Amino acid sequence: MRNQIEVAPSSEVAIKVPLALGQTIVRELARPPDGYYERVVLALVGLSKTVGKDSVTMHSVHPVPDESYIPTDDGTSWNQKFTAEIVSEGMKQNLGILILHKHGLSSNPSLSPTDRTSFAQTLSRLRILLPHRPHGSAVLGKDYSMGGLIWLPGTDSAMHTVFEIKSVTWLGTPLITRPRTEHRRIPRRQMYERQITLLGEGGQERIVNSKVGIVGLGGGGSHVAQQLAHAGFGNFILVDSDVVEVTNLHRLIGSQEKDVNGIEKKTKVMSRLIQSINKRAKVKELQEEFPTERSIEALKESDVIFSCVDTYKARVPLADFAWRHEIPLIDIGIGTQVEREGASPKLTHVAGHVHVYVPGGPCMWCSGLLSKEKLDEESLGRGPEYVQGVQSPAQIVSANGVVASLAVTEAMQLITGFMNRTSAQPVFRIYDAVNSRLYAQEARANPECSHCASSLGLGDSSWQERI
Amino acid sequence: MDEGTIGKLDSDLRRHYGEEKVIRKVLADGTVAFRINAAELPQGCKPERVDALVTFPGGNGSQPQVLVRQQITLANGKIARNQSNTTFDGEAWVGFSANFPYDSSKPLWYFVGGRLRRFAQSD
Repeated sequence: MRNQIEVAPSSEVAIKVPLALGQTIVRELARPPDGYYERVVLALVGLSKTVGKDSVTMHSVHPVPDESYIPTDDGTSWNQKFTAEIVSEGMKQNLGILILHKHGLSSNPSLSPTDRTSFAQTLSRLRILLPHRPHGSAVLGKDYSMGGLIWLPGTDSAMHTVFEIKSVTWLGTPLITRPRTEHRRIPRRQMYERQITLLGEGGQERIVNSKVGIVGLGGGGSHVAQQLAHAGFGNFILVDSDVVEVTNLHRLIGSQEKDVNGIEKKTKVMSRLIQSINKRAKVKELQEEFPTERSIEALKESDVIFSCVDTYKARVPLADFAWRHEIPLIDIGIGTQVEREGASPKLTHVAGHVHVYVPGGPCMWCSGLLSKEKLDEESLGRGPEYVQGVQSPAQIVSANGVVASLAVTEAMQLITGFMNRTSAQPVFRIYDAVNSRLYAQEARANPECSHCASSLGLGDSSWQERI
Repeated sequence: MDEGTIGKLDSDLRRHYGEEKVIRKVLADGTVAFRINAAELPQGCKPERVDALVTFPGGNGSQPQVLVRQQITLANGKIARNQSNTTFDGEAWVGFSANFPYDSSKPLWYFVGGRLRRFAQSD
């Protein structure tokens, strides 16, 4: 293969960096070098392809250890043993390699000619060792900026045709994307004037341009859809296989009696609701039960996903998906408990939760929302909607609305950072409707968690033909 | 599950389904998976052929599972019951219930075929 690279004329390659990994990268690259040119971090990365954009997702970072550096007269080098370790890990995990270093002063960093030459040589070797995976070289600048080049599998095999990194998103709360988008005129600005006072023009524009997925369009999801539409979110991906039934009408926002008679799909009802509020909103309706091939492909385009499903089992593939493709997931739920006192039921418990899952932080398994015990109980008929002594799960529209409102506020915070919180910790809240209280729930990433560490940033699955 | 066992299972499937139609993968947690492209379904099913996946979770050789790439419609026109959407390695697959136990003394394709014959039953 040639040791030259050619940059494709157009590209939409984005990088996603979980904040904890990003902090390691920044810290390591900021350490003063000792006898060699500059520090380097290798990241194992996956690829999440969509129709409009390819995203490189970061699984783990591996700073080159001090003892592995090799002093050279020009540029930085490190020993093959370290590279072999990382390549071996890449083979095991089916991941590519992104080489990171730092140019401190620029807000618009790019690879130097030396960097490009070095990358071309490295790319030749990586394409042999780790075919079918993305590989790249990137440089950090100031203020979270990043530039560089990425080679993508499935592109020209005879040459090194590479793509420029167009943007980087650091997955914290809030999300930080660089470069910052330029302000454009907000359509029907007057509608959002009172909101822009809080969010700023840039914040409102990010809301308008965001893509939001909602999986589950029942009592919680319908509230979420309505509020997001009012807030000005411009792109919706709706996933639910159900139709409207008469027992839904008391809590399904936007539903009407005629929807029951017409056996209307919930996706259709929500689309109608959204577009009645914001006729410019684009809505993709998927009358399917996640996960299907179509719903996976559609939701990959999301900037944030709302998980409004009603079983633990339904959450399992969503949790895995969000981590693989590094998309923040806001999960809501509400449950009731009734005890029998003689012949009469007594309501003891109406509680909901709002959990903001940002990839790289605590996952649904770390937080305890998911566990093997709960899944086993659910398979025996005792799930989160289990209500003792009552025939069907009890729900109340007002409690659903509280939980949904909290969730929408968190989505707006993720996208815009408008609330200037002192803590960057993800939000986990419990709502006790009976006593009208809101509790903060402590949730930390569990380093022993076999789920979040293994699936983070894996991106798309890759099956290679036998060589 | 050692490499020798994996190799033998791989060969079993390739001999039956064809060299080009079987791809194998081992995940980081030790799960071994074989993807069979366009496995034949019982007559009358729609589609007629489907990609199938045989997995040995965690590398445990005693309890493989079979998944198919999409929901199957039976010869009587009904969608087969007890199919559920799931994911494997980030891809969407469909699980289904079938009463056909795994016998490690028989080739793996025998197990796959037995499981897929579930779709010959009218629900």
